Order: sequence, then C-alpha cells, then structure tokens
Amino acid sequence: MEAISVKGLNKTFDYFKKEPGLKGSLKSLFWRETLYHHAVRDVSFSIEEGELVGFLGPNGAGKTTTLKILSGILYPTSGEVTVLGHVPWKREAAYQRQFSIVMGQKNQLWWDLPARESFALNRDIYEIDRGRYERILGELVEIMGIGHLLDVQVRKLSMGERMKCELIAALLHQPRVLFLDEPTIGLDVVSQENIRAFIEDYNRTQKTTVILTSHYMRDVERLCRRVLVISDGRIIYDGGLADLADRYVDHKIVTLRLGRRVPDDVLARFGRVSEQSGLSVTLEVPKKDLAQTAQALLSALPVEDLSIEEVAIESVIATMFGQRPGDRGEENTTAGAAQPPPVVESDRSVHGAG
Amino acid sequence: MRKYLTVFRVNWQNSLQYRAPTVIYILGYTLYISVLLFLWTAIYGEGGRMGPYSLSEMMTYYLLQFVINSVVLSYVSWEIIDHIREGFFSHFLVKPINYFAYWFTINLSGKLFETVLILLAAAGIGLVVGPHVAFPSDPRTYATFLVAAGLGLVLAFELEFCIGLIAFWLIQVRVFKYMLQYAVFFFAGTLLPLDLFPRALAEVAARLPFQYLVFVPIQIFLEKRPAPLADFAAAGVWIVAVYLLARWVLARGIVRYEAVGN
Repeated sequence: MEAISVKGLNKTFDYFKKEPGLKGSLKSLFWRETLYHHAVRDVSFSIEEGELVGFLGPNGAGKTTTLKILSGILYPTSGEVTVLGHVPWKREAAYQRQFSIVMGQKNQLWWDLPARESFALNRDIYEIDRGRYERILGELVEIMGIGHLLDVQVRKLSMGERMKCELIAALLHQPRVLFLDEPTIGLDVVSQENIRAFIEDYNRTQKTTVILTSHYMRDVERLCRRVLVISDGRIIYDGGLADLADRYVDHKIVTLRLGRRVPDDVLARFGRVSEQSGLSVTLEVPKKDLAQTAQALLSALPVEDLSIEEVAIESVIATMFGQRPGDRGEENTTAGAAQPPPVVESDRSVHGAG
Repeated sequence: MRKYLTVFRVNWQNSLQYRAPTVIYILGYTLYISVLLFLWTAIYGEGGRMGPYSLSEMMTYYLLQFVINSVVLSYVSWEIIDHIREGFFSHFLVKPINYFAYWFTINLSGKLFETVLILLAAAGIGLVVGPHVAFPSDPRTYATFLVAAGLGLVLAFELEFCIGLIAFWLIQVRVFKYMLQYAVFFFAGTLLPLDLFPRALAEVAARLPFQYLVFVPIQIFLEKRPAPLADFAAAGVWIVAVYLLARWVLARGIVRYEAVGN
C-alpha cells in the first residue's frame, strides 16, 4: 500500500535582500528587493508502507524542507502531497496521531526535567491509554537500554542518550510514518551505530514507514535500500543504493602492490592513477576494459597483489554533486569521524527570513 | 483536558528548577516596594494628599499591586518568542495540542510557586505597615475583587500571548516587546493609580483594556468602583475581543511561519 505520495511538489521561499550597515537598514524600511529561493522544484515520488528510504544531498538541497512539508510544518507553493491519505498541512489530529518527526537539532524533551516527564506529557497529548503506554515505553526502554536514565535530568544526559530518549518520545504513540531529520548528527561512532541498529530493527519489526535524512553516508548505506538523491531542490536519483554506482560511475578501483617501482607514465597507460604511496598504487580503470586491463597489468608489471573494488558510495555521491571525491564526503564517512560536520544544516531560507 | 493537566504539572515541576532566581527576584522586589511605601509615608507625613487616596489606601494600592504584578500579570512572551525564533514552534504544528491553551496552562502553572512566595512577602510587609492597610468593610468585596483579579489574569495572558507572537514577523523582537509590555503595565496602573494621571492621559487609560489588569481590581478592593458588575462585563468583552485577536494573529503567524520555514 502506498503510504506517501508526492506529485509535482514545489516550495519557493521569498525573502528580502538587505544591504549592510545602518544605511542599508533604513533603506530597507522603505524599499526592499525580494529574492526567491527555490528550495524544492517539481519533486515527485511515492513510498510504500513499511519502506525505509534515505534522502541524500548537500546542505540546502531541500531535504529538510521536503520533510517539513510532509509533516505539515510548511505548506508547499504548489503540488500534491498525501501521507496515509491525509494532506499534511491541514494538520488534522487524525494525521498527527499517526506520524512523528524527529529533528536532530530541535529537541522536544524538557531540558531541566527527567525524560520520564516529557514521555508522560506526550502520553497525554496523544491520548495514549495508560496500559498501552506502559507497555510501549517498557519495550522501547529495554531495547535502548536506558532504564537507569529515565529519572535523570535530560541536560545531564550525553548526546547519544538524549537522542535515544528523543526517539522514544517520538514513538510512544506508535506512528505509522516516521520522519528522521539527521538523527545521528553530532553523535559519536558508537552512539551512531546504536541508533542505526535501533532504526533498522524498528522498521523491520513494526513495519513503520521511515524517511531518513543524514549527512552521514553510513546511516544511509546501512539502513536504506532505496535512496532519493536531492540536489538544488530536484530529485536527481531515485532507486537502489547499489545501482547508484552503476549509473554514475564508469570505472572501478584497482589496487596494486608492486614488487619494484614502475615509472608513472607506464602506470598511466592502464588507467588514472588516483593514489600512489611507495609500491602501492591505486588506479581508476574504465569498466568496459576491466578484464583486459587486469590481464595486461599482471603480465606487464611486477604485480604482487591486485584487488578490484567498486567505487565507494560517498565518492559516487561526490561525483554526482560535481565534487572531487574526498572534498567533503570523506569527513562524514570515515569511521573515525565522530565530530559533526562543522556547518550545521539549516535551509538557506532561514537567514533571509528577517 | 487531561493533556493540559499534565502540561500544568510538568511545567510546575520545571519552574521549581528555578527556585533560587525566583526567591532572589521576590526579595529584590520586596525591597523596592518597601521603599515606595516609605516614600508615600513621608509624602503624606508632610501633610500632602494624593487626589482621592488616603495614606492607608495608597499603601494598600501598592501592596496589592505588588501581589497582582506576580499573580495576575503574565510574562510568558519571552518563552514564546524563543520558541518561535528557534523553531521549536514546529513541535506544536505536528502534535494534537492547542497552542493557545498550552501557553495559558504554562502561564498558570508557572505562577504557582511565585504566588506562594509573593503572598508570604506581602504578609510580611503587611505586618510592618499593618495599621495602614485599608481592608474592605463589606466582606463581599473580597469575592468581587477575586473575580476582577481572575478576569485580569485571563486578559493579561491574552495580551502577553499576542506580544509573544510578534516573533513570527520580527527577528529582533526584544526592544519592541519591552516597549509594548511597559506600555501595557503603565496603562494598567502598576506605576501610579490611573486617576492620578493628568486628565487627558487618564481619559485615554479609561478607554483601554489594560486598566482591568491592575487598576480596576484594586479600586474594587478599595471600594471605589461604583458598579463592579459593569466592570466585569467590560472586561469580559475585552477578553473575547483580545482572544479573537490572538487567534487571528496566531493564524496569520502560522501562515508566515509556514512560508519562511525555520
């Protein structure tokens, strides 16, 4: 069954240009130039009940805007959207009781109180009866392993613990659709992995439809079989994660260990040298010549070891967005990168909204 | 209804986290009001008289104003502004809860602790200036006063709620908010009884809704209002009018919020 249907969705933000300084401020009182930011352009997709879909794209691509429209926080400039048969921006209680949105950077938990209080508040806001509430809370707390933290003030929790509580708060009313906007942002590697494992398990056991946006390639790689890649407000890819590499990359990565040094110009005959350190060489070899080239390499060069790999998914994405691999994909995907990306995501429109 | 009872309870617990700042604020305010009371004593001691007020009536006015300032007047706009500006307002658009009712509940429960303290402080000051407090002669006046104060509380909240909603349109709302809030308090009679204003200003004040927050309830306590029922009716009309205004502003604000994101 179709859970989410989006047809021809557009969202344009208008904001005012302000010249710098006092003079600019005064001038803007009387005359302001209106600027438009097309956050979402002609986006269409359909998601089946129970699917777990990833939204990928750089900052300001329109991921968060799309999720906000699906949640009823924003209304579109044009287009048709239904989620579970409801039009989100009508904000009907019947729809609100069936979905949840977790915004990695906008906590709903009360900062100075134990998470238990925020849970109780959601219990009554969503009118969950006590017996059901206790059962669901018990289950979620057990899976997350945070039973000992329920009575600790939220501000004293680590970021990972807090995100677990945020997820619990969002799931108490057993939503059929769940929007996760950067759920792992700022978390350390272990916490990220815990959250991912939970989302994967929850989607599988509860058949909840999930849309996930993330900067962290690993979130998407681990969780989503299907991805929607958004760039500059448009969907540029909708399909399986595995097919992405086929569609956008025409080469494979061949790594060699050589017995002795080989001149660069000799190596370059077989493919583009992307990395070289000592006797270790990485080549990008066109897929169509792969078999031939591999044979040629083995016979012509003192090869001690040879391996062929697919291009890493983050490099594929980087290629799609016209960046050199490693420009920005790298920091988000390296297992050791516990730090959040330096730039916090927010749609560009916010700054112009003054 | 239960959801709002829980909002009340949770926010009450939350406000208890800020016990120390509240106590300090009340102490400071007690000092301020005491100085005012001494000032009035000195002025009256010189043989002066302020319009229709005897010394004990004047003392009572400021003592009640001291209590009403905490119990009736509302200060939630700051939180509302933060909510809207930082985008936490989004949580209210996705949950089945009424934004106006939510803040009304927060407003009430946030006052509970302060109310207890302020009544203690007022009783303490009352003990010192006791002989000068003018208590109503008719016991029914207490009930009338409570009704007037209750209406004032609702109206004060509605006005404060509207002030908070300005954040939908202005990012730098702080100065504007203080300006409006002080104007409201000034015309409510927190600084000076409205009938001591220059005539023209008093005429203006008498046509505005703000008098029902402070001035009118205290006048009722002092048995200086000839027709409290007419005051109730007028306050009621204002309550309905400002409620409709608040709903309209909120609806416009949401359209604005939806348009610009956050």
